[in-house]
Order: sequence, then structure tokens, then C-alpha cells
Amino acid sequence: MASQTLIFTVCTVAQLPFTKVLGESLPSHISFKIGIVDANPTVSDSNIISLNDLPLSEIQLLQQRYDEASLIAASKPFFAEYFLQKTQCQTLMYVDPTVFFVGDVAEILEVVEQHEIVLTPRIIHKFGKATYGDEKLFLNTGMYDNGFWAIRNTHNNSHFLKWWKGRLTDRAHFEVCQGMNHDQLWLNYVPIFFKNVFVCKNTGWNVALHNLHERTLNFGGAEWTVNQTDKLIFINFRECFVKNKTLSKLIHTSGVEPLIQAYLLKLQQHTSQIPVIFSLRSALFPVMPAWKHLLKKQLQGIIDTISYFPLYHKITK
Amino acid sequence: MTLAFTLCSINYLAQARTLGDSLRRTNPHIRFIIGLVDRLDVAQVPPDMLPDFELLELHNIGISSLQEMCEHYNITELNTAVKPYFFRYFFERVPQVSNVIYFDPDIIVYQPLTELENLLQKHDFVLTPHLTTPIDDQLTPNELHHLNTGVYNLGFIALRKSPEALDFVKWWEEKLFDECKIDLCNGLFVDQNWVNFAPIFWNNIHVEKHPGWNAAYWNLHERRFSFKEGTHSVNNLPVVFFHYSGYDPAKPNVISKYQDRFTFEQRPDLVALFDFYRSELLQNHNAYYRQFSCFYIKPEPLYKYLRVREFLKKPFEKWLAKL
Repeated sequence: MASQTLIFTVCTVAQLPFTKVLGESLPSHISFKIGIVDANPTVSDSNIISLNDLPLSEIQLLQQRYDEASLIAASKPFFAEYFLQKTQCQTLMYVDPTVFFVGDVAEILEVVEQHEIVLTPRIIHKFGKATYGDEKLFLNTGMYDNGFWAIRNTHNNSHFLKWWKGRLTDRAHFEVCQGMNHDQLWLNYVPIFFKNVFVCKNTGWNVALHNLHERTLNFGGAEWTVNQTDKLIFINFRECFVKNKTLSKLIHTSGVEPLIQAYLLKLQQHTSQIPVIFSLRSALFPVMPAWKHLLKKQLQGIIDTISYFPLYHKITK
Repeated sequence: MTLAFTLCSINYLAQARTLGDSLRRTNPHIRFIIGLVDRLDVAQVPPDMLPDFELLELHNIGISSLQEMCEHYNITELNTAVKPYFFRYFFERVPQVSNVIYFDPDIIVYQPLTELENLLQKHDFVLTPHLTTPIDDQLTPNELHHLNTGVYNLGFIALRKSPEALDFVKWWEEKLFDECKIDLCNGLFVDQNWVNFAPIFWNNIHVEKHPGWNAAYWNLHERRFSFKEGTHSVNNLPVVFFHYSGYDPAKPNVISKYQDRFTFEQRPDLVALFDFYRSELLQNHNAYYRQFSCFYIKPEPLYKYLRVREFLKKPFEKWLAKL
């Protein structure tokens, strides 16, 4: 099964150190490819494929239209289609470059084998409000995580990729007010539009900053477990490199800290600096100095006073 | 026992009556209740104009925070926010109730709901998606519009009385107490967007994709209708319930004020469905009920000097945008 499986990620040249660590976490018999989106990449490695080299007419348009994070998101189904056609693999899995496999990939492949598309929800349990954000934060950013998905090479999935490519060609911006959050919000439609989709609620899959409040990690001597029930299979460290007091506390209490430290040690072997990568939370809640925050509040106060100064014609009923 | 209810203010009673009549014709065993987000005693509707259906006024279902909700919601928000409170009331107060179905008032049920009742024996929730297949154009509404307003249409939801469904209703109540607003930038679209979470947080959910369920302006691209021997069909299956959202019998040439994809000229297959609806609404005194303004609408001031206000605000808004 494994030889028929291909795992890929998409990033920029600057983010390649992440992919080295990801590659090291994978069993050597699984094919691993990297798509890069830079306009003029200067790397030569047979496992790295440049977006420029895909034989597709839309590529130039994508490169003109999008910023780096949108381009990475938009190019995923284009790379996916290319890899399926080129390698004829039976199973194709996308993971973010910041993913690290702690457990056995074969467990995921067994699940994919029984379905056509496998997704993971970003959170599994209702919680009200947590350090990462509240429940409504997930409503306009997407129910399913774009950092992991797996598909089998089937006729139905050629429709899925064609559909996703069509949407991401011009609607992969980060504009949550307009219903767009890169490639992620579009996944909301996948279990509705496509057949044989499985939403995996195993808490050991896709542990990430946004779901740490519902997951406690433990090392029981031989293996890591989540919530003392599920085996830890993989983590996405995408948003875990924050220097924020409350988030650090969350990271500490969830038990994931030793894994982050171990990951950073591995990363240091390939780079002296952690490469910059898009963080949804930082984009939605940019870190702002206190004076700026106060000034914004004051200005909004003045605007509201002018809008609602009590001089009116009549009161409607 | 299955109970169906709708929610509206007095101005939509013609629609609610039309829905009730359709249920009486097709599903006489289902108990139908109109949840009224209004006050009959204040409106003084004459007894002969009251619908021949059970009416349950909002102030009688025991919402302890009703006053607060009225203060922070407008009429659309309030009408949608009270939905889970009515569900809870029916589950807790109506003896022998096993299934509760919500329909928007602008729906007509054309067929027995046998399949729905069968589904509710096995599932705790039944929902219908806005779309079951992609829309390739970018007219209104298209796929993007449902991404920040909700992929399931909340003009219909059916729940079985079960611990899972009650847990959902309780959570939904908490959300809708103060977050049943239209604020797309913050992920809020009344009661509907919240229900995206239903299949994630709960497990026993059925999403029905039958084209005859909750057919409406948003999914016309995938549904072709016909009318033969008194039966409306869609894609060769019976129309079970049609949702006439955004239709106004005073503008009979407009399918819905919320869409620009189709006209009746392009879709003559829809004419029979809408002709019937218009005649039903007119017969049910639509023009009469439309005059009533809702008791719960907050008085709002009409401000003076709007241009001066805009002019004064400009520099501050520019500054704010730069920060």
C-alpha cells in the first residue's frame, strides 16, 4: 500500500527547512514531494517541483493575483492533480510543511483506503471560549482544516480537484468578510458535494494550536496519547511558534511543550531561524502595542459619538 | 407524536396559515403550532382574522431573558434567535412529543412527511444543505454566499427528542441569546451559521439531499420542476416541500428578491408552483396581515444632518484605517 502512496506539501523556498523535518518524520518507503510557489526558485532536487513547471495555463494568473499565503493555498489542488497524473499513486495526502508525524502513517492510510476523501475537523467538541478564540472564530474560517487532507485516485476525486481548482483560481484570498479564507472555507462543501467523504474525529490526528484546549498530550513510556484515549499520530506546529503569554500557558498545560522543543531542535539542524509561515490567528488578531489599541478605541468612540449624537427627526415604531 | 412549528410576527400570518393548510392537507396527523413573535392583545386582531391553528405567543414560553434579547436584536434577529427556545419548550412541555420539525413560514408542504419521520427514528437531527451540487457561475447567490452564512438552510430543521438533540438545543440557545446577529466579518449569520457545527460536535445527523426537500431559489440550478395530474415533481421525484423565500405576491414576476440567476421566462417550470403559492397567500389575507408592525420592533431614531455627520467623521475614519 505504502509504495502507492504519495505525501506532498506546498511552501516557499524559505520554508523548505520545515519540509526537511517533515520528511524525516515519514517512513522512508513513502514517496514525499514538495511543491514550491516562488516565482524564480533556485533549488535543484528531484523531489521539489516548482509551480512554474506545471503545464497549466492558470499558473501565471495565480502568481499575479495572489500574495504568498494565498498562492500556496490556491496551488494545492493544482499540485495534487499533477502528482496523481504523473505518479499514478493510489492515495495522495497533503500536509502542511509544519506537520510532524509522531505516530504511524499507516493508520491514516488504512482509513483513507475505506473512503475517497478524508478530512479532519478543526475542533471536535463545543467549548464556548478558549485561549485561541471562541467558537464563532471557526465559523468564518472553516470547519475542516486545510493543513491535512487525503484522497484516493478515483474518478469522483477528479471532479473534486477540478471543482476546488476552479474556486481557488480567483477566490482564495484571505477576506473573511467576503466568505474567503484561502482554500480552507471551501472545504465546508466537501462532505456535501462529494461522495464517500470521511470526517475523522480521532483526537490523535492533526493536533494544532487551535484545538489544544480540547486535547491533553501524555507520554506513557512507549507512545504519546491524546486525552488518554487516542494514539498521537501527527501534529501541525504551524501556529505553535508564538511568543504570547496566554498562548504559551495553553501550550504548557496541554503537554505539547516537549514535542515543540524536540521539533525546534530538529529544525535548528536545517536553519538558524524559524521561517515565517502564515498564521490564521495572528492574521485575525494582529499583535498591537497598547497605545495603538487605546488610540483605535478612542477614534472609534469619536466616530460613534458623531453618528449617534441625539439630534433626530422622529422615532420610528 | 410529531409536532411541526413555524415562527413569525403577525405580518407573516398569511404565510404561516398557508403552511398550516398544506400540512393539514398532506399530514393531518402532525400537530402544527404557530410560534408568534408578536402580541395579539396589543395588535387587536379581530377574532375572525385569527388563524385556525394553535398560536403560541413568544411571551408565554417562559424565556427568562426575553427582555434583554428584545433590546439587543432587530426583528429578523429576534425571530431567528427564539427558535431553539421554542424547540426546548416543545420537548419539555408537550407530552408524548417525539419529533419536532421547524419550517419557515414561507414553505408549502406538498407530500406526506413519512420519510422524514422514518429518518427521525434513526437520527437525532435532519438537515438540508442549501446546495447539493456545485454552482459554476458567480451570480447571486453562489457557493461563496453560503460560506459565511451557513451551508445548511435553517428554514428547515427536524429534531428527535433525544439527549443529543437536547444538548444541541441547549448550546444553540446559549449562542443565540446574544450572538444571533448578522455580522459576517465575525462569523455571525443569525441562527444559521452556527448549525455548521452540528455534524462536528454531534454525531447522529442526517443531511438529506433529496431535490424535493427544501427546494428554493438558492438551488434552482440543480432542480427542474414539472406539474402533472395535480402533483409537483422535481428531477422526476415528488416535491416534498418548497421554500418560497424572498417571494412577494405583490411582485409576482420576481422569483425571489435575493437572487438574480433566473426569471420566470427562463424557468417556466416554476410557474405552476408560484401561481399556486400566490393564490394561497391572497386567499389567506396577505395584504391585511402585512400592515401590522411587530410589537417587539425597537423604536429607532431617524437621525438629522447625515451629510454633516459623514463629513465630520471622515478624518477620524481615515486615521483609524491607517492604524
